[in-house]
Amino acid sequence: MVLTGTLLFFLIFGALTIGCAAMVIISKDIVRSVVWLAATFLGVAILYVFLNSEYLFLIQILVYVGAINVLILFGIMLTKRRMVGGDACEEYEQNIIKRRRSK
Amino acid sequence: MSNLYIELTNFTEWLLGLVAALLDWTKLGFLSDFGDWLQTAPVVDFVSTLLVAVIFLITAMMFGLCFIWQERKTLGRFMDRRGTQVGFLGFFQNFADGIKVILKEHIVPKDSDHLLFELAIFAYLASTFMLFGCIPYSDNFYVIDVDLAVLLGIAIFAFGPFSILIGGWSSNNKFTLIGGMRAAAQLIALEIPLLLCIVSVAVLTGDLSFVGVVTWQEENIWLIVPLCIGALTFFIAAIGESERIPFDLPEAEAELVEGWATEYGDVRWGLQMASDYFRAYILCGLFTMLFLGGWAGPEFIWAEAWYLSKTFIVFFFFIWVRAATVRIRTDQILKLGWRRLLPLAVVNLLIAVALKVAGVF
Repeated sequence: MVLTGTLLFFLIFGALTIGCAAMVIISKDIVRSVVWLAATFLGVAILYVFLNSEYLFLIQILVYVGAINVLILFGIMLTKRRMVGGDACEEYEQNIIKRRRSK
Repeated sequence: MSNLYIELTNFTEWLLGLVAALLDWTKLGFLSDFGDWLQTAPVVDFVSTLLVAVIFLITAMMFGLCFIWQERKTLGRFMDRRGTQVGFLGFFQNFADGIKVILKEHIVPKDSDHLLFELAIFAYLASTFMLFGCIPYSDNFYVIDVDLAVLLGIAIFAFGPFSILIGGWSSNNKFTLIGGMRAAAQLIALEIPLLLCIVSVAVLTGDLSFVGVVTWQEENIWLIVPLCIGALTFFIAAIGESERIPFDLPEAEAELVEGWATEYGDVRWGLQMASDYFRAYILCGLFTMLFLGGWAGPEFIWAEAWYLSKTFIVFFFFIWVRAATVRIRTDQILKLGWRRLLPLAVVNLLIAVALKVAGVF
């Protein structure tokens, strides 16, 4: 197999997409997971360009990055904050509660 | 291929030839080889594309600044005062503001998510600047003319709500969070009618590239005549998309300090504020392209001048709406988006399909 420019870029973007997809699971902070998910969707969209389907590329960005990610973010932000682990805001609140209890 | 590209390719060839001659003059073997490599076709293409992008970015930003000036002066007249007076006709107010925001200190809130805080504003600004490249000024002055140019513009617009929501959340401030949520809800609600209006244009013209749409309108009729309902819907949705006054819930000063951008200081805030106008400029440009015939017009002035004057006229109506209306409530905005604008857009799409099927155009 000859390593052409297209193949090289395909491999780079494929690896980035897989890396971002892994980070969605590894990341402890749920909002950061959504950002990684957006990066994954973008990576998939770029892979569509290598398949010569620009229309699918644009629709993937429009629907997944533009709508579905925002929907997930809304879902996260409208649910109770105590349920998710470890975002900056929550740690701050918990510290305040701890301080109050220690007094 | 546009004239802009041809001119700049010639210029780049001359420039790189000069650099190569200078490198050759040093009599060092590897530098001469580097000079030869500079003159190959891919490098020339790359450098000329870069030059086109820079020229387009600077012109578009200048017109965005002109929009701020136009808004200040016209709004002043609407309120029976003179508007800004700094420098010649108030032109220098923007530059004074720009110098002011550049000189400010960059402050990151202590408990914020630092990485996302920096990333979100970058994503927002980058998507705004990418949009400049989508809008051609005429069939001789553009960056890209792909088959799906209109869809490309809308896809880049889709980055807006996401980055705004992330920016509002990462600032760790309830005002920014509420502002971000409002912005995202509003942009999503108004994007659907906007898209449906674009679909109706695509149905009639059978094309999604700006050059194709404008050529169709030159040959037949300006689309604002058959699709007047769609033009009105697009106009209202465009005001909402650019977060201007009847729809400026995301940064309602009286309630939310400065909306989702409250925690941003320095040049990031300045560019965010300016990018509201840049987005308004892009939406005015879209309206001009889709409904007002773009650069079509009698040939006693340049095509670019026709396009820009139409854009400025559309923006005048934006300012008029701003001066005449008050801010609407959050529940009203969703009602307006889903219950009023969406049916209107569907009716408009029906008209477009009927005209196409009946063979009028």
